[in-house]
Amino acid sequence: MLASIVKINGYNPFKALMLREYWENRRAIFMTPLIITGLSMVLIMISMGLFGAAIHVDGNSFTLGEIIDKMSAQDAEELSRNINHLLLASSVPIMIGVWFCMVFTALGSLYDERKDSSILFWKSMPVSDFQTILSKILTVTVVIPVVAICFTLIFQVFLLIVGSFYTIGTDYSAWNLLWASTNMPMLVINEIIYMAMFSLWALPVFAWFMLASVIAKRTPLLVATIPVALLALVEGLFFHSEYLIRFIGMRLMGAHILKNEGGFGSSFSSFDPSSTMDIIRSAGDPAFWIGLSIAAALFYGAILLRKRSSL
Amino acid sequence: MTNIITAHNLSKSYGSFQALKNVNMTIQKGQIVGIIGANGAGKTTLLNSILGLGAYDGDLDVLGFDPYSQRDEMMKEICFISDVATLPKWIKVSEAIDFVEGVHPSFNRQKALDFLAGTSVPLDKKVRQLSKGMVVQVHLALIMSIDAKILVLDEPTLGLDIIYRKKFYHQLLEDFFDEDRTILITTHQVDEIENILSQVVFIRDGELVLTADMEDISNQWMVLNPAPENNDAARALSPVSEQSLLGRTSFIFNGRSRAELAELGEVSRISLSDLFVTLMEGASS
Repeated sequence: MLASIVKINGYNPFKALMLREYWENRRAIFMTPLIITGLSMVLIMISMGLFGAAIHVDGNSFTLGEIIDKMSAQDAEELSRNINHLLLASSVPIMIGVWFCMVFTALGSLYDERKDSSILFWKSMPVSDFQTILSKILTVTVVIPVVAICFTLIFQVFLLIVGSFYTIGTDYSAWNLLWASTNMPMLVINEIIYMAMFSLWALPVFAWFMLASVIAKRTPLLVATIPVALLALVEGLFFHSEYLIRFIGMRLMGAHILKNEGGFGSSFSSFDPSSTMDIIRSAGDPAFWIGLSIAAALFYGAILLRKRSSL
Repeated sequence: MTNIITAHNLSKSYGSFQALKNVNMTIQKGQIVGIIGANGAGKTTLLNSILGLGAYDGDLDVLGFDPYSQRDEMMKEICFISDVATLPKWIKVSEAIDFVEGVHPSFNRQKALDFLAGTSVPLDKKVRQLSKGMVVQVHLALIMSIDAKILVLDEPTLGLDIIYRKKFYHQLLEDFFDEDRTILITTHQVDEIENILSQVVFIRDGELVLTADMEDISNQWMVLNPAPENNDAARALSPVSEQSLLGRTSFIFNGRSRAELAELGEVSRISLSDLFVTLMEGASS
């Protein structure tokens, strides 16, 4: 099935554009989460196998045995909540890696093609700038996160399997303790909602990155950051406010997904999302829609500029 | 004959620099048109306008489309190779074929594969791993497998050695060109394309200096190598230019009859590069 999705059969411009993005950004889309997942698995196996070892949760360290002891003492509801939270938190390393992939893919999206002048090849094909840019937006804000979620799923199942092995030879039942307490579909749905809402809140920032990438003569990162830094400085000096930095920082760091206002930046260790309902409700915030409008305007600008920049 | 490209008062400025100045021209179906000019004369600007890669002033009609605003539709009928190095380095040959098949309604995959089968290009390699000549072959295979009405080639053989250049033009004529198609081509190696062209456009400082069929050029323009004693007689016929090399003098004439000149010495047809130099010098003096 996958093979038929990733195969071109005849005229299908948008599919071809999306595949093109995958070919170009294979590292960001696939290799990065693959490597992080692989490394995490190896680290877990080493730490468990070799050291029998301690796992750090909220600054305290436990051996897995201790955790299982503790867990089995909990009632079913608490156990389930803790396990699901643990599994959710286990996806944080992948999500952090993928966050960087999203940022840098956006920054390179319309710059790389000008740098290697392949833009002239793309423009020799009957594809509109709108379609091209749409394929790039979707790659950054949908494809990369969705692939990442697939990897987190694999990693979570791996954790459950490893945990199950650990109960062999003990009185605990892996089924009761781990599998029955885990609500996998719910976990996946939650992660999809987190990712979708994160992408939507952060869309104006990614749109800005793409605009910077279409403008930049070199180093899109600087083009994206320096004007913002200057504006923020002016804002701070003359208005004594920090609205711009908060606008960008909160959206980019997922502050609307996490309970903590600082987002990822201030709470690496304790991944503590708001309740899913709260996250969905945040779409009722006018700021959410203002952000999407700004994103639309920035994308429109990027389309116009790409239309003009033949070299 | 049908006009497929019509430009009327076509102009384009970059700031205060006028790259194209009121260009008027028509190009008909089934022609191979050479666009010839010095560096910075406006060749690429002209082609980019035709390809809808930039805005312009004046009227331009390409296959009934306005190139800038109707570019997406128009590009289904036009192919171009602007420079051989535009294929992205990271793409595999097979992926490039897939991509063009996906975005181009009139792409013939089998044709591209057949074309590449006759070369040593490996389909599973990335463009960055191929030699320069192979990259051209890939690009050419892609472009020639598209059933396009117009093919635009802007310095297509830049940086290639003579063997690949010859092969390139040979394949272009053999496998792509027919009377329903039109090819626009610019290059600095004028001599290499002169026998495939049917029409030529000379451009200087953004203006068209001469637009003519190749046939008219060889009827109009002639080179005379007179016997030394006839030099003065030749000068009396008001040649466009005179050149002395190793004691032999040659004259270039415009619009004289062959018979008239043949009395004075050996008459030959003018090469495009000589015509180019003559036109450029004549204008500057």
